[in-house]
Amino acid sequence: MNTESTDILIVEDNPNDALLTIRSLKQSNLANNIVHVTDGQTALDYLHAEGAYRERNALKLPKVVLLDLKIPKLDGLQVLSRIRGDARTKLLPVVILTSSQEESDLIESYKLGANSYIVKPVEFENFSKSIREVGLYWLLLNKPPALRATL
Amino acid sequence: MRVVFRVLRFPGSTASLQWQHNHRFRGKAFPMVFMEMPMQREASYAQSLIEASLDPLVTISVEGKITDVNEATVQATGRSRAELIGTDFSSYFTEPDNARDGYQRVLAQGFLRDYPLAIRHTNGHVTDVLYNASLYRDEQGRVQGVFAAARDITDRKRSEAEIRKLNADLELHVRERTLALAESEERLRMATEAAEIGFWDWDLGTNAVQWDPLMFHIYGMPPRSGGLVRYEDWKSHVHPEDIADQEALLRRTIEQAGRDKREFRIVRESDRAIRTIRAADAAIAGEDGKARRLVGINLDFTDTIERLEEIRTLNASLKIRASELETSVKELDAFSYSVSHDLRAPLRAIDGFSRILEEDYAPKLNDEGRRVIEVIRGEAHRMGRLIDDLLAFSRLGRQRIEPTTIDMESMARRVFGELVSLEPARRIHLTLHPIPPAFGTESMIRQLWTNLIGNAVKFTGKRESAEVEIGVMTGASGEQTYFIRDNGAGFDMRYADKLFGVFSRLHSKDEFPGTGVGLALVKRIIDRHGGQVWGEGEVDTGATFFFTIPDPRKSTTDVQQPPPSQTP
Repeated sequence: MNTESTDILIVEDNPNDALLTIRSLKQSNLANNIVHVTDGQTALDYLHAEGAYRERNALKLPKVVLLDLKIPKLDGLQVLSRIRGDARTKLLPVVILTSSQEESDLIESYKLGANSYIVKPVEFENFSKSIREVGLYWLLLNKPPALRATL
Repeated sequence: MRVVFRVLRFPGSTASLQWQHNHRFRGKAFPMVFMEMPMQREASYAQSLIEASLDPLVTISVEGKITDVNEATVQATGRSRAELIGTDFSSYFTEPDNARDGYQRVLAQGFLRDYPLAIRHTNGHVTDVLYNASLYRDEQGRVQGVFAAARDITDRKRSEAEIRKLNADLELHVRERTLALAESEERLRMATEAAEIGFWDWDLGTNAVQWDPLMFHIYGMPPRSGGLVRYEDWKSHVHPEDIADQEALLRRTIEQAGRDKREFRIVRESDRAIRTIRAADAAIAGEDGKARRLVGINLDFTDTIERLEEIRTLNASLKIRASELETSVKELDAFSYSVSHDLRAPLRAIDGFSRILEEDYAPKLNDEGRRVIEVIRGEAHRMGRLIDDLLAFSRLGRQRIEPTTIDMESMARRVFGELVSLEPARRIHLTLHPIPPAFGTESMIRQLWTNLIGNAVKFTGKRESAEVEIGVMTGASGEQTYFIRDNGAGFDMRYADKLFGVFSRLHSKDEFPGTGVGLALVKRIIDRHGGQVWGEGEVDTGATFFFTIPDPRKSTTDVQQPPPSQTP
């Protein structure tokens, strides 16, 4: 099991979107350690070091989670709600990265404590640019809280 | 001077006394006046009696001259006794001829009863009197004159007049009341007829029951003469299950001399149908406080119940339909969601991987290969816009109408400014006339202007000098029609019906790009505001779009004009 500290957790069931996201991040040399999971339950298992990830050090959290809303098993909003409901991940930065422009999704995401809400642009260039900016902001500019202090 | 004679009437009647007093006037003696008395008395007594009379009394000679009067006559005429005596009696009446006639009649028939005359006072006052008169004779039976007694009937006449007036008033009042009563009865009859309410009246003393024609109608019975039925007739039509309760209720109303409302079923005689009756009864009590009569109404409200039942059924099915509709709206939401999410992802992949192909494998591609990749990416982008527009269109249907007053003029100017700033190379001239504010949902109206002005900007793209004009027309009944005109590509009026369809386009996408959703959105926005939108155009000359946004606060009967072929 990878014990290195993780930069970004990508929760995305569409392999093409995941590939495009990872490609954009890597091209801009922003993130070296990217973890990609394809459903909500696995995402929680990873964060809480449970299930397949029980060997993982639960204290080592990613700097940011890119969370798609429409994912199998637990959907994005449920995952977000569990992240915020758990003391260990309560303050973890979560960026919703979705195709949905639905007002209800947006409102619900912020209500549940999303840090940001990004609609995936259809055009690759815009998409790629957005991902780079998200990476730049959350990995370099943003100062995350000392997560351990909340334990 | 007065001389009193005492004369015994011959042949010596035992019961009478004759008296005479003589008057002298200007030294001349006047004939004697006699008064027959029932008993022998002193003459002064008789004189006092005459004087005591409140009725004017007078004695008249055969020549028609007054020989004596009493005080009442003096009062009635306003002349002294001395003035009166010896004068023509008839001259003191309003109608002397009548007076003389009366006098002649006394002479002819010996008496006169209740002869109406009017005495005139010197001050003009007239006293209505009735005269009773008779002849008087001397001892030899010769006629000496006429004794006349007048009865003052002024008061009686006044009373009579008053009574007549009172009577007339009373009659008028009675007539009015009778009319009013008849009117209110007529109204009641009309109301009960219209409402199909039957009346009944039950005399508890004789046990006779009277029905009005509607009662027979309600019970499906042939009408009987005088509407007379028996209590048992009613009872036999009441549903057997209801009769005991109903009789108990009636007994209670009678015992309490009260009133009641009931509901029961009957079996209608004409078709054996079970009908539900609503009834109200009231007891009419005698002086002893006990019910003498019971009156009431019956109303067959079976149909009402059935109608209510129908309404309930309809309501229930409407509720089901509404919830079905809600379900389909939710399904539509889910569909939109799915479209927005699922259709976008493959597009992004097509675009993204084409780009990867371009970036990573460029050296291995020739020009044709790179052109093909461009086409793939271009089409992916277009589909992305189509999906976005379609979603916007679908969202519009679900968006809530929250109208406010919108400054249309500044909104149009702002939108125009924004759109033109995206085309810095072009020269587009806007003529914005003063236009009134509208009452609508701001985000939608902004979208409306964006699409209409956007079209004007787009379709004037091939013009050296593009002209856009925005204004308002006021119709005959004061309704405001906004319009926006351009000098662009225009359209063929033959296809005007296709202007507002989703994905329907009148130009090829090579000429003018677009998804064919813009005007469909415009139409939907106007529809949601209860207005009308239509377009006029000519190929290569330009297009004008008209729309109305009725203000629901102003009038509920604000009927919109059908698309007219008017030109501002």
